[in-house]
Amino acid sequence: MKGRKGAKAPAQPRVRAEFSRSAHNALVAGDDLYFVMERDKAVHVISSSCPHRGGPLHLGDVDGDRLRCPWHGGLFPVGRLCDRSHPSVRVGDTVTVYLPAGEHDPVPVHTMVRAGVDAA
Amino acid sequence: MTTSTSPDSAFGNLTEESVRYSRLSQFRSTSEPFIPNNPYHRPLNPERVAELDWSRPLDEETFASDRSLLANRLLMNVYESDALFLPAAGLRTFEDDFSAFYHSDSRLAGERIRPQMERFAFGFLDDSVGVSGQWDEDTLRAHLRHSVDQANSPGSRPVFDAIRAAKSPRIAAGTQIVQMALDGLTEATAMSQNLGGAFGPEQSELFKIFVDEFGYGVFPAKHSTLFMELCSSVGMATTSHHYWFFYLPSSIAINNYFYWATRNRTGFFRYIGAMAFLEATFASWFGDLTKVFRDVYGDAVDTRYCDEHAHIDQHHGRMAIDDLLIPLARKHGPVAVKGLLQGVEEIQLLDRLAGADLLAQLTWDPALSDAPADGPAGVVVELDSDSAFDTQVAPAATRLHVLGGEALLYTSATGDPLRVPQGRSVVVPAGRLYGVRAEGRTQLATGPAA
Repeated sequence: MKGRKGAKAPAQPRVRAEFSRSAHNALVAGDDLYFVMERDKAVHVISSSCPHRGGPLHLGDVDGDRLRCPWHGGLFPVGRLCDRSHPSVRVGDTVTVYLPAGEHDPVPVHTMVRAGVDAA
Repeated sequence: MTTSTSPDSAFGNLTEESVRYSRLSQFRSTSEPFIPNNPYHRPLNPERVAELDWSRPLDEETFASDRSLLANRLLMNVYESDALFLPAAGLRTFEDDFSAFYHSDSRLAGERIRPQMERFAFGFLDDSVGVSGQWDEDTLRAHLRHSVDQANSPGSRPVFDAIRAAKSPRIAAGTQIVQMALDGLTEATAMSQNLGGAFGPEQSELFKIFVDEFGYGVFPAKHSTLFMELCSSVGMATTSHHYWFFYLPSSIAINNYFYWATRNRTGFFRYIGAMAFLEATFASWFGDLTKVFRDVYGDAVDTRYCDEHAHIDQHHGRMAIDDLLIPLARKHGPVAVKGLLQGVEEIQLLDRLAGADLLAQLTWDPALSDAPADGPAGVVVELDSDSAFDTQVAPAATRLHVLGGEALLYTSATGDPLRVPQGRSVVVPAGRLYGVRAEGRTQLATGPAA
């Protein structure tokens, strides 16, 4: 856990959001989209913006244990994406997630997510 | 947290071995609804245990069911045979039960069935609760603060409202005290199982909390002593498990949760998370409980147990989070954070389920009626004053119809049982705990309520 004491950079301000696992598969905050990926029954909320050129990772395909960005084909290990997902807890159907704070509060949505459910 | 075994053979063995365990002498039946003075006599019911379907583990829906009651009673006896209980009045008349309860064969029989019973009782938590992602300290603190604030928010105590609004607030408050007695009269034994070992400064921080619990070595200041004073002041018994038959399944399960989380030391972080959350919410909860008891019992009630918690848990809440949970998360990383949060979320979930169970029991006001002429006859049993007493949870709405004699219906440990005379009946709603006894020869038909 990144502590406050001795941390190189201050912790990123975050905002709390809740969504229903069965009704929503993504959250939208302004231009930012966060998609839900389920893996081994665990729910992970992942930033959709590809670190290369901002491609929509939620529309990428999962090939084996890697997610391919639909724009330039960048490959990302699914395990690493999940390990670095936004902090969340799930109790039953309700997921609470803490997303980077911005101008817009996150809104749960159901949209096309190709990379989301039961990714290997 | 359990060992793996082949499901088919495991459940077969579990049925046989759990029945064998429940037949041990200290778990024999009694015709009395209360267990006075003997901390080792904890009736199990081998016939009902034999019917328990171990292949269907508990879940949120069945957390407060009859299957939960049976499994958690078994587990509680296994766990508590590791803790020392001595009768307040001395051992003289209980020497045989003392020996039997702590006999190596008895404890071995319990240990053989414990892992599978734990998986049966608590396995669903891994499906119900999940923790993911990279947590930083600020986010962890924000999440804890939100969870505690929510638990203490106005309107979050429907059980307290129900006690005040009950037809008999004293009986309802007594039911609340009985559920607390499970922990209160055993000096939080379930929560004190991780004091041994060597785990650095956090071990000392944990001790500070328990030093307060144990009254700094001064018996009159011990929290369990204060709880006994509370019980005495309202005319209730003060010995461990006097109210054995009246613990709700969800109350036993929450107590067992702490034994389960601490039995395997890898559950340490889960234990700290659950304990820290409770400590952080207790001050407000006990402050409100004092007001309830004052409203119900007036000046006669001794609320020092509640007052002490309302005060000291302001400190314990801060200590458990700032000096235990956060330092452990910093030091031990993601595995610790996941376990800590798992505990925080699990105890909230279990507390919600237990609150609903207690609320339903408190608000049930059984009423006599005539049996419908065309209703199903059901199973007929003969009772007399020597019949074994037991309580159970109705799996579905159940009609008890007295064909002859008079039945006494127990739905709470305080107050008088409801007398159901010949020709009358009473409906037990699904999910409610009840027991029936008779003072003379009685015929009782039990069947589904039409």
